[in-house]
Amino acid sequence: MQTQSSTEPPKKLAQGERQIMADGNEYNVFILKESGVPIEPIYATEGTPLVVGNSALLKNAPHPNAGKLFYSFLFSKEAQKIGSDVGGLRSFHPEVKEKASRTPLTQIKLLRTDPQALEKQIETIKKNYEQYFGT
Amino acid sequence: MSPLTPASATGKLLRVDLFLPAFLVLALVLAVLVLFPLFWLFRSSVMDSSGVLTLGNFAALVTDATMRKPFLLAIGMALGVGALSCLIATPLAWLVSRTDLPGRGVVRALVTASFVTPPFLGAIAWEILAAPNSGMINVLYRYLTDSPTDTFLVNIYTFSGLIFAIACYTFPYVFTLVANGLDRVPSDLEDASAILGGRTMLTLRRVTIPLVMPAMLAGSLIAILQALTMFGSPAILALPAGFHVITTKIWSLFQFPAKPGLAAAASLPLLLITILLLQGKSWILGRKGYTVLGGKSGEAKLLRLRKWKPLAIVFVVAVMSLTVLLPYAALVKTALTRNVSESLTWATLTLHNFQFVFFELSATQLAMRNTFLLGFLTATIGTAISVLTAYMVARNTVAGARLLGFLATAPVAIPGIVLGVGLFLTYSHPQLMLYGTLWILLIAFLTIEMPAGYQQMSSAFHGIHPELEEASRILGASRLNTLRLITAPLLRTSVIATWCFIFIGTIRELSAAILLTTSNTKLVSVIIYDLNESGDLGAISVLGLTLLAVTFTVVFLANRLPVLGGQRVPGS
Repeated sequence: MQTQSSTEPPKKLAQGERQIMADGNEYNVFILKESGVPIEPIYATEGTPLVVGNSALLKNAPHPNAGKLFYSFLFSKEAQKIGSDVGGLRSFHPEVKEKASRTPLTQIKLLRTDPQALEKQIETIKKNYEQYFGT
Repeated sequence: MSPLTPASATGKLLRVDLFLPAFLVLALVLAVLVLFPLFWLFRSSVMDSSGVLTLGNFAALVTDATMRKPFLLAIGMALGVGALSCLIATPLAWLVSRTDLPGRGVVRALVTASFVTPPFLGAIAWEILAAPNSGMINVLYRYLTDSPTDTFLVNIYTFSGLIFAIACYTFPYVFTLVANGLDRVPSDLEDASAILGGRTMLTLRRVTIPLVMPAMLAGSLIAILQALTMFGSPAILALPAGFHVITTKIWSLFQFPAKPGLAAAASLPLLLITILLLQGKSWILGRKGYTVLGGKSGEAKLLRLRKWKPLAIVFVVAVMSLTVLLPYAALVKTALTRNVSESLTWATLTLHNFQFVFFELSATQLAMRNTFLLGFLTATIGTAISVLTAYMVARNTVAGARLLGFLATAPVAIPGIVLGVGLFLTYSHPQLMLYGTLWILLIAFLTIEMPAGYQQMSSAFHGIHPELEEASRILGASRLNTLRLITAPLLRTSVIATWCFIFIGTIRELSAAILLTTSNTKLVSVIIYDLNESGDLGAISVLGLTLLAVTFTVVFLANRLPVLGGQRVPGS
């Protein structure tokens, strides 16, 4: 089954529609697992891709200082802890402790990508994907 | 020269006829609505990003297998939907209109329910019912037959599953045309056949079926057209199954890195096919003859089904269960449980999903307000434009009036998703910034609904003899006054039906809306689609059922309000 959003595969598992998923996001797996759904993340020995949520201020933003204030809140220990505990996200804040039930990031082999090198191959990758999986 | 002439000439001069200005304004509005996005479509299909003329996009359509395949699949799917719709709807219409089948009114009401169901909501309901593992039908099948967990009875994520899930919501087009046809055709001809010794089956084959053939074909063509340009159901069922149809392919071309030129080129064959299908439909319906042959006669006599009655009832119940009853039951059940795989018992019964949709999901109230505001505005403005346009074309009042009819019909050939992109590029310049407002959605919905509204009003005008209007004109009323005071009241039921039709079409529109909404202009249909991508079936069910409840209420009120008169329900 092909899905369009990374949030969908974990929910298909929770519904009992599929037994395993590849890809799909980690935070929904955490949220579902901690709400009692029988679901377990497995990290491939070859490595796991890490998607970083980037933040930015628009150049001509009408209220740039409000934006800066919001970001200083977003990167505070308090907000990062909420993101980790409730949102199931990984935090790089040195003081945020993850829940003990989750595999620490340090024990997972991470795959690094080179966006600039990747951009040149987008067409090929999309074409190959469509050839193998249909969409 | 009679002394009266100068006086009456002055009188005529003083009573300014606003007809010509109205015509010009209408022509301008329709041109802006229709020609802008069409112009963009043609332009970007033959130009590359630096503005150089190229046929590369069209070459890619032919040479690129990933472009060819979605076309072939879409055509196959659409033909399948047309055939299946016809196969379901024709016997159903005949049973309802010509036999003593019990509960005929209920069947008509249920067909209307299928008609107002957004196809994408139906597709989601069928996911809940017939997904290979979690689908309720398959769970029940495994439970009853004690089969292993990897077996299933039906799988909706297949090509045939997709055809079925679309046909469930396009068959009312065929049903309506055939049932209306049968209601009008006098049974004299069938009686004659019976008197001459023809048995029921022979009469059916040699008289009744040929009589409704034009309506059957025309209805199937509409169903084919609907399937071909549909985005929601294929996006929900074909993509998980691992194949594209042309609309989802066009949509995927706008994902990074976007290729609007190729998307525009890919939508032009769709435009061409649509024009051909519509031409085919008017050619078929153009040979109407049959329906008026009998002249005036009594009510059609109802055929006694006798021993066939149980079989007919089984057929009708099966069709109604598959298209309406089961999907709605699935939605209700999903709305009331936390997880699709749970069974509905007193222990699992929860209002959690209602709580989530109405009190926790911040977008719900805004989206509801936007959806119904736009539905109301589009229906009202759209009906007004349709009435004026149809009047001008039908009565051929101004040179060039036929052009209006063409303009009003043209958008039918523009798939919603393509129109969405065209409008986005047309109305998101710094000088003309409508993107992010409800106006761009209003423009999109007016354009999309114009063909249906115009076609309905146009056929209504053809059914009214102009002699009453002529009388009004002779007595001195202007043409616009005549339209307002004489013609429009005569057309009251058609006007209400058109209003409801546009209203329903608007609040269930997804393919153009999905590209044109922003966080401040969210619509219920788009929220449902977003929730489907994130797998929140419970919330979808609540929103879908709410949408339907409001739709039914509005349609019911529009048909029953004493001020508006009329008893007609569209689709029945």
